[in-house]
Amino acid sequence: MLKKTALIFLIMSIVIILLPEIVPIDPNEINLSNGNLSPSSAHLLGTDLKGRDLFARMLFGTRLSFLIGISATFISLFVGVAWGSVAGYSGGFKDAAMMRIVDVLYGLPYMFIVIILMTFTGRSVMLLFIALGLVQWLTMARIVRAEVISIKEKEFIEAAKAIGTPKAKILLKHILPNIIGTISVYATFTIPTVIIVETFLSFLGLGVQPPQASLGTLIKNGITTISVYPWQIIFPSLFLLVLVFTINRIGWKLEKNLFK
Amino acid sequence: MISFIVKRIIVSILIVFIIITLTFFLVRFAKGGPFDFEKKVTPEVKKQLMKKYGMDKPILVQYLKYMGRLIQLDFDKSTKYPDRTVAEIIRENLPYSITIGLLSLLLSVSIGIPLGLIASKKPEEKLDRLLQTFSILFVSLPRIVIAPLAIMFFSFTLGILPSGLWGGPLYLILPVITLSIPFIAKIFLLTRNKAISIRSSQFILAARARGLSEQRIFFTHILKNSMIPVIAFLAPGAAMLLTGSVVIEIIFVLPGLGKYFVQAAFNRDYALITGVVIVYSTLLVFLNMLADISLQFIDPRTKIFGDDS
Repeated sequence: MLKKTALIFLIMSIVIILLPEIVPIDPNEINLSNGNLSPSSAHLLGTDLKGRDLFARMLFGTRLSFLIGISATFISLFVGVAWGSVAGYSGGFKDAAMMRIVDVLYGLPYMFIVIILMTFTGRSVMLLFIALGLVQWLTMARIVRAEVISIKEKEFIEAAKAIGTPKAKILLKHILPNIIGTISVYATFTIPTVIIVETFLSFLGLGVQPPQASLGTLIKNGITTISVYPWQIIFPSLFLLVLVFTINRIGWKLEKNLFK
Repeated sequence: MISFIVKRIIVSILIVFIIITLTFFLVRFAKGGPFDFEKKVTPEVKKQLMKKYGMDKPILVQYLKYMGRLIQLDFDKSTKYPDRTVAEIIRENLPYSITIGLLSLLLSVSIGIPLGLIASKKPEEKLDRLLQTFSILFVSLPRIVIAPLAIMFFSFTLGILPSGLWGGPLYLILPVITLSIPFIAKIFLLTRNKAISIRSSQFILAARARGLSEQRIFFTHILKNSMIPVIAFLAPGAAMLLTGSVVIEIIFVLPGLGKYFVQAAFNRDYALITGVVIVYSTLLVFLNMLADISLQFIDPRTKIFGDDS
């Protein structure tokens, strides 16, 4: 079951990443005389105000949103797992201090800080990855810490300690492999969360910048023409919904199998 | 208990203080200033403007002055709206954001919790599965998707609800529902999962063995314990509602503080940004504190601040 879901996820990723390369349409080609066309055989999902093909833009946009989701998730994974496992394994004062920081950050109006950061430091996609990842690592740290604590008292860890295995090796070789299941479930849930936050930031004009397309910028453009060309909002919304729903479903399935 | 509450209040005040300081310096050290955008101003004019707003002094002096004013609830002057103080802008717009947020919170809790409890009665059966699928769907629907689709359907197609602007309680229906949808799903899932694990736990069995009525078991054990994750979620949840409210205010063209915040960030309106962040973070920190204290009452075993190993 786990292998099957992993395979589905892999195939999905490959399709999302490769499809834009196969489709021979330039998503950024402007043709003002073809603006706001309805869906037809020449332009499957119509064109936008500047005559760009919306089907191609949606494929590229989905890929960018998906990649942002994956990259930010990796950042949150890296920070969260390191933080949580060190806190959980160390215990005592170090643990209390580290988790107190997490608690404090949890109560911050985080999105507002991200908005300030994005407006003030220029809006590169790279910075977007980092900002989104840094918002998401807190939950990961909490989960990893709880898991590490439940495992570190087990006999095989005691045995490893007894023969003098160094701390870092115990964490990496003995503890982490045992909690990889939990980590992957929550990482799966992080991807759609990040994708949604990306659309939020792009909607505010703070995320992906034109002419590059992401699902967020496409929806943003769609909203402005909603009463005249409704398909310009319906299709990107549908793409986003399917993408996020599928990943959430996968996470949900993984979780059920893991904690059954 | 008293000492816990006092400690918690002191920590909260400290956090708010740190946030204020952080925002103050973060905003001012970033490149670009409040007068670098509008039609090119000559250096002399810019100097005059800087002087008018007290920005010509060293940053530490500015900081101390600002903090001094803040104690008297004076949030300083906005650079974008010179005829209004930040305090005025906040006073005029905050009630809208708070109303929308509170109504969504009420709506979400009063739908999410009962549904979660109902679904937990027969886990993995028809009704529960249906509700689960719907909740994953709702969690997957960003507000920037729900809002325009809701406008399209209810305002353009059916024509029964206004599509935006402010004109009375009727204008709140769509924004509040839109804001609530992902939130209802989250609260449903939290309640459902907790209630399922409570229902199958030993102490429920023991309560049955003692001959307690099902009604009593439900109210004193299941309901009370199922509330714990929901209450713990309310503080980060309120943060979600406040950020979500930004989108709602923009799409439905409602008055509200969130919209001002985004504009202020674009305009480098230092005082307005800092003012909004202060108001929102005070609100969130206060909610966090309230959640911690009420958790302590419901379940005295909860140790806040991570030392629960």
